[in-house]
Amino acid sequence: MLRYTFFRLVQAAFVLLVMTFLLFMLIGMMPGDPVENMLEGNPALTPELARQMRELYGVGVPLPVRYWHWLTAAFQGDFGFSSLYFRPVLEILGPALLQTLKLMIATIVLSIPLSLLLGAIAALRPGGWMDTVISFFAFASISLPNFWLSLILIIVFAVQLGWLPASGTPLAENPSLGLQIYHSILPVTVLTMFFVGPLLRYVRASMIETMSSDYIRTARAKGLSETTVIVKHALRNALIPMVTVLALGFGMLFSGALVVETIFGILGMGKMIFDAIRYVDFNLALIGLLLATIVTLVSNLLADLAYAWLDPRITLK
Amino acid sequence: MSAIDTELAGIPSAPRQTIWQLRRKRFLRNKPAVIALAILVVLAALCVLAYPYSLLMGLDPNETNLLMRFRPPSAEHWLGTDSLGRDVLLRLMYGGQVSIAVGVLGTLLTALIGVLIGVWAGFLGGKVDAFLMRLTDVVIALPMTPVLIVLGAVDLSKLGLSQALASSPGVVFLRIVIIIALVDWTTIARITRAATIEVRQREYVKAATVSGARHLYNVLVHVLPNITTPITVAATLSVGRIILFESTLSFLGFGIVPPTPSWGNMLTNAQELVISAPALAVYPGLLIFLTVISVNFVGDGIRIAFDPRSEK
Repeated sequence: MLRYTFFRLVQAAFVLLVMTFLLFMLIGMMPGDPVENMLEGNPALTPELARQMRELYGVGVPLPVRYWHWLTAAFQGDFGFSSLYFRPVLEILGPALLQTLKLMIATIVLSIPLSLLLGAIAALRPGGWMDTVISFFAFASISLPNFWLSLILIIVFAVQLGWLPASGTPLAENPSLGLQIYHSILPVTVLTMFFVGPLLRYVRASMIETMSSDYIRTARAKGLSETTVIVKHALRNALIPMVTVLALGFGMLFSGALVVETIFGILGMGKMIFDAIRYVDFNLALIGLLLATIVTLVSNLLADLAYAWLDPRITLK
Repeated sequence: MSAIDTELAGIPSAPRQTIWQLRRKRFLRNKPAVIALAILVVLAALCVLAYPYSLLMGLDPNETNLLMRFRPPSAEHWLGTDSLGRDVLLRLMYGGQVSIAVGVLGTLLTALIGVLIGVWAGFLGGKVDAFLMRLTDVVIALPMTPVLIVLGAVDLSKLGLSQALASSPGVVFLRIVIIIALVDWTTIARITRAATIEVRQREYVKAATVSGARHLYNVLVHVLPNITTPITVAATLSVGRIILFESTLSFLGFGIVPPTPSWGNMLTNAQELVISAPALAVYPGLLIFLTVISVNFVGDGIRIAFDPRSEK
């Protein structure tokens, strides 16, 4: 297990290194160059100053050289300045990451019990009417464009009924926890709707498989009540592989948060990346994408490790 | 008892069924899938009728008329007009053509890349396999939506295309198909690889190899025909996902660019319309949802029809 973990860690580190280069190259292909973008916003910049800045930013330097400069600086903790916020990108990153994590944790806390409940009910009688309804719900969940669901919820609950705010960020200086939750209801609902479908399909399939296993028959034969059989025996075992699904879903959720944050005006990672790309803020876009990649990579790694830990046969391969 | 035995015994034999007849029968027994297929046919017909409809009503999907903004449904504009006075129904029809075309073409390209990489990795094994699978891991580790946006933002003129060509509707369309395929091929590649490894170990492939068949011959004659089922199923299930990717990209402004309508970009400014014209925010998304959920039900129906064991 230790060797396997070490092997996977080295692999992940290598993948991350390759990714920095790929993303660096991609970001460089966005329109304009950093200095040109700054010139547009600041007519007072003299040509001489612009020339100096081009030199400073390495405009016209070949890609591998530029990448090397960036990489060596990055290893010293210098990820550059944001041209959008006029601050070091690392200062912007922290609060944004916190916002997104809050959203995601709320979503996961809601999604797990919901998918367990619905998945277990559907698995009780495969093909029954409850199963049909819940399966339809799962299909709807994976087929809903989440930007549209956000718009519809805003129309119904914010505009028509006026029950909930259309913005995900409270206006108050230091919002209380209650106010924060109040403003998060709609965004978290959209993300939960997006996340529950795949999870519950997994729980259902896993439960159906477990329910037909020998030890469930034994448990029933012992005369245990149906509730004990389902909750204590079946659900527990069906849960084990859920760990991997959750870890994999974490990356998916992080990516899905971009749209929701943009629509509800939440200053999280997703909106930050979106704005950085839209307003061609090279440094900010790069660090944002890298962080998003790291989150996905780490969650995939955790999924693999959890799986290996739960099923030791994996490490032998 | 085989068919020959029954004939010999003088009993009229049951009509022989090909595998495709069996599959069709199983598919048709799946009610949700059949209903979904019918919905898809209706939607596709609606989109195809865009041009005849524009002739009939004398409308142009891109012609703006500021005196006709936000008109309610009327005999002239069946679903009313949008913020620039354009006919909503006609734009929905043309937008559907774009969404469906991206879904179909994107899936074909995704399948092509996925099958090439999957067969290559699975058939050769060893170091090639290890390398290609690490590559797959890298692509899977990419955060989907942000990466699609960056790819959508890439300035094609930095890649040597002229400005005019880079912004022409055809290139914009192809670019979406390509960038979606570039990030979405991994599922099909993994499935193809697993299926290839399974087929590679069968006796007839080994026999062919021993009698001197080349890799390419083996792949074309023995492997590919035997792995079409999992590929078809995986490809059908990715159509819906690709349509969702396209609409999300277009919604965020990095996909199909106005004035060309797409279901995604018709919602781009809908946030400002939620108070004044909420209906405009409802239709395009509803059509995306209907299309994607129908495609997913049909995909699931095909999966069950092709592999009855998976029905549970």
